[in-house]
Amino acid sequence: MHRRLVWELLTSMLLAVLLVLTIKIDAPAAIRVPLGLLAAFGLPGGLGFLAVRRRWPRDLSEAAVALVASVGVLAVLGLVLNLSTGGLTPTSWSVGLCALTVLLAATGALRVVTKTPGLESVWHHDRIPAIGGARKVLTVVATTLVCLALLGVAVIVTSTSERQRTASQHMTELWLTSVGEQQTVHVRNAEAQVMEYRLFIAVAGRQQRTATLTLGDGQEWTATVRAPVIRDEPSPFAAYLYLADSTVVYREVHVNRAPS
Amino acid sequence: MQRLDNLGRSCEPSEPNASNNSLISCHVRLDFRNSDYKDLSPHPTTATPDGVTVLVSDGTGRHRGAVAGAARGRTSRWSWLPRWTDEEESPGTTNWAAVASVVMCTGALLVCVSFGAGRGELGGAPALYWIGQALLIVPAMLRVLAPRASPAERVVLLTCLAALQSFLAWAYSPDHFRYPDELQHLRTAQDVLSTDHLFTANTYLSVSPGFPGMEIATAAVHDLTGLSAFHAGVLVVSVCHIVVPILVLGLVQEITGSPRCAAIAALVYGTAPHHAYYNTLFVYGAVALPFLLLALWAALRSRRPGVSVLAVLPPFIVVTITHHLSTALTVLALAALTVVDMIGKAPWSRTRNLLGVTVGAAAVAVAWTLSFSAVTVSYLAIPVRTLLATLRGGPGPSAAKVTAFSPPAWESLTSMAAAGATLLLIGLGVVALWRSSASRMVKVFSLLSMAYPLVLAVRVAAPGGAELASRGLTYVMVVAALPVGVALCWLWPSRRVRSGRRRALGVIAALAAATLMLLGGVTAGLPPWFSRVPSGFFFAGTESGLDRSVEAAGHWAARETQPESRVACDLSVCSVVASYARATPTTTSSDIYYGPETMLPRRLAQESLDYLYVDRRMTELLPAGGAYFAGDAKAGQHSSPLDPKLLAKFDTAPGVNRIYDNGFVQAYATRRAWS
Repeated sequence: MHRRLVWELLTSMLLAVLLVLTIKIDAPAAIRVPLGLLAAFGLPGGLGFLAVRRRWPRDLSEAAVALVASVGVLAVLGLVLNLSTGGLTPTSWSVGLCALTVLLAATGALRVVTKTPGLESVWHHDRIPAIGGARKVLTVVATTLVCLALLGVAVIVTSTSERQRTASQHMTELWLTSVGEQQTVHVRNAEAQVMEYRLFIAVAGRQQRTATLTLGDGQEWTATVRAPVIRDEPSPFAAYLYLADSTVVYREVHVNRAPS
Repeated sequence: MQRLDNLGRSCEPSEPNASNNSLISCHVRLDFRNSDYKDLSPHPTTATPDGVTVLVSDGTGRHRGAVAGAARGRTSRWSWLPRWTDEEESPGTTNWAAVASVVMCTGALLVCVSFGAGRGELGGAPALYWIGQALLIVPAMLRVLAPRASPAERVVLLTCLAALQSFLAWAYSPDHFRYPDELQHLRTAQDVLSTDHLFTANTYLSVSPGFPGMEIATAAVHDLTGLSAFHAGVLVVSVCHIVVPILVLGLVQEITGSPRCAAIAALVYGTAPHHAYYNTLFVYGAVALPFLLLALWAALRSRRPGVSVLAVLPPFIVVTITHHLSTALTVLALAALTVVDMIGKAPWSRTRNLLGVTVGAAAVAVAWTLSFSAVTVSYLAIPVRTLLATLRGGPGPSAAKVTAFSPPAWESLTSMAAAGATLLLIGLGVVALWRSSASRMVKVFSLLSMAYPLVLAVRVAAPGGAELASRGLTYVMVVAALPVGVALCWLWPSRRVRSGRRRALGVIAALAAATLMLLGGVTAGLPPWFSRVPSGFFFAGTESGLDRSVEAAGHWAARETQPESRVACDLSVCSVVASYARATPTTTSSDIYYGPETMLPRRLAQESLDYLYVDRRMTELLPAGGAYFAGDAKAGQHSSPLDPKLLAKFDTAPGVNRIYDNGFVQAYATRRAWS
């Protein structure tokens, strides 16, 4: 039994070291996500459980306690990492978790080997018996697959409908940034199609520039004009955006006269 | 001889059918797990008029005697009152967990389809939603209540239900956080990620940086996996939500020793209005909740021999760094447990230890709060002051006007009936416990459920009481779930305790009450009825007030405006601008929108406003929550949308420049008007 435990603890530590490496080399998401999730939600609680109770969680209820304990361990570890100069960076998280894994694994091993009295088991009634028998295994596997398939369809329905809703909310943005006497006008097309616009820029009430724009979806256009500050000028600067085939102002930004 | 009160509720008159002063039949079930009798085999019970004597052999020929409660079955005039027995049927041979899980997942799929239909403005979405909710809830309810379901099956179904609730919360807003409270915490999380350190000031929710537990865990998952802050946050909150029913189950089982009653209590806890949705959101209370339950559970477990009460401290520390209110309530609950121990005549050594830990926990909480978030005191004082003012006869809630956003009558009635049913079951459960042979501690503990009617009183009497009560029920239902679970156990007992027509009536009553409470949990909870299925835009709605225009304004502000700028805006625009652009929204500037142009320079100067946002739809739509702005001077008084002339002044006021326009939302730079 001890040999098996040693292998399990060595595997845990290996995973923690791998996590440090994957972050160091910025491994692809397919490796980093499962490993990171295991390190964040599995190792601290599982090894903590082992260190306290001298055994791994062995049913759903104990697994739940270990899972939420992982979140607690992360929160406390974050406070400790915050004291370091680097703070909460991916590297410090991975190194911190690696150190914690080694510490908890060593404690757990020590407690198991020396048979230090642990706390008694939490659960007496809700222990889920280990899956036994081909029929039971088949039932669990089939149920899990059916549930995952149903939820998979739900994910597709949700993602598709949200994407369609976002795409249906068309919009064009017009904005102005000022640096001294320089006024920069920005136009951004988010109409989900190629759009044609006409832009009129007026300085001190006089048309200074016009432009016809053709922008693809997500494209941005900018123009900078000089607009000297003229005291008591009622309309120092204005930019009007029209749709190509319309005479109604579609978007407008302007600088009003200064307060007296 | 030793009484077995602490070993299990051993002997109960099964039915009041015995004649006076006669001994009635007893079912004796001994629970040896916590006692010195562990691993000993009980001898057959002998009953005498003085009680039931149980002989226990330790295998060495030595016998220990114990009297398991008085077994006299006196038929008194109170015999019709409920009396709880933890008599349980042995589990049936069929485990329905697999079938129930598939049905529940089908329900979740239907709810997602209803969301999709709502987003596409298709008909039939609400009907699909309710069918889906029924498929989601009913199988879990039936199997958890059923006396012959196995404890393992109940745990699986409760976990499945909680997991699907988290899944549906994600499905409601699958691409980013939309709920204003989530956006407040998103800002703290983004601060942690951008600075790599904690405690950066957050002017949107000033107490948030002082309680960064959730944001730390989110940052950890983000940094370790490379997932976005949104997905990392959803995972952290989901993990915390899924374990809540299991922890409630463990807590109640620790008190009652009954797995069935505990599972029913966990199901009942799920009827708290905020449980199914709000407590699955990216809010710090949701993450603190399981640790609060773990701390209380550890305190209760310390009654067992050899279990240290110090086990309370690790989860309590996590609560302390995660959520202020949960911290205060954990200390309060530990104090209440200490009092319960005192009244329940627990051994002084145990009471003393618990008292010591309670005092220590209070000291830790005070030290943390004063060191890292002193503003918490004034933050929590606001609702307390409101409640005190109400008690002193101050203004109550304004009379609710029927508007387009008022819930349908049947939903209001369902919510009220559910609260009434819960109250009734609490009463029945408390009586049943007090008439049972449960330990004094359990009986006294059941009295804590009297907090439930107090919360209902707050809901009715205080301004903003509905919101306060819904949040309060998240915690109060922890103690209310025990008597409600006991009452439902009493209504639907095992066949050995009650049979025939009376049992059938009880089963119907239990099912009706549980259905009503679960339905009430949906109707009284969030999202509000008009946006239960995501559909169109609702001005100043929570998630429904955030469409692409509003979000685009937030992203623009993040790119183009300075952090900590003071801004005036409606509720929806403020939530994105304060979160994405780290702006400081004012809560006293609604009169700037309502007032004339002449007062504009003075008010802009008073508020030191840098930017002002206008969503033109406020001239076409009424606000969903009754207020356009935070601190709206005309909250609850709007009977028509704003007059467009009121917004036209911003286009002509000297020094006020329109610098952003996306059609619906416009931003004005206002600093030049007053600086």
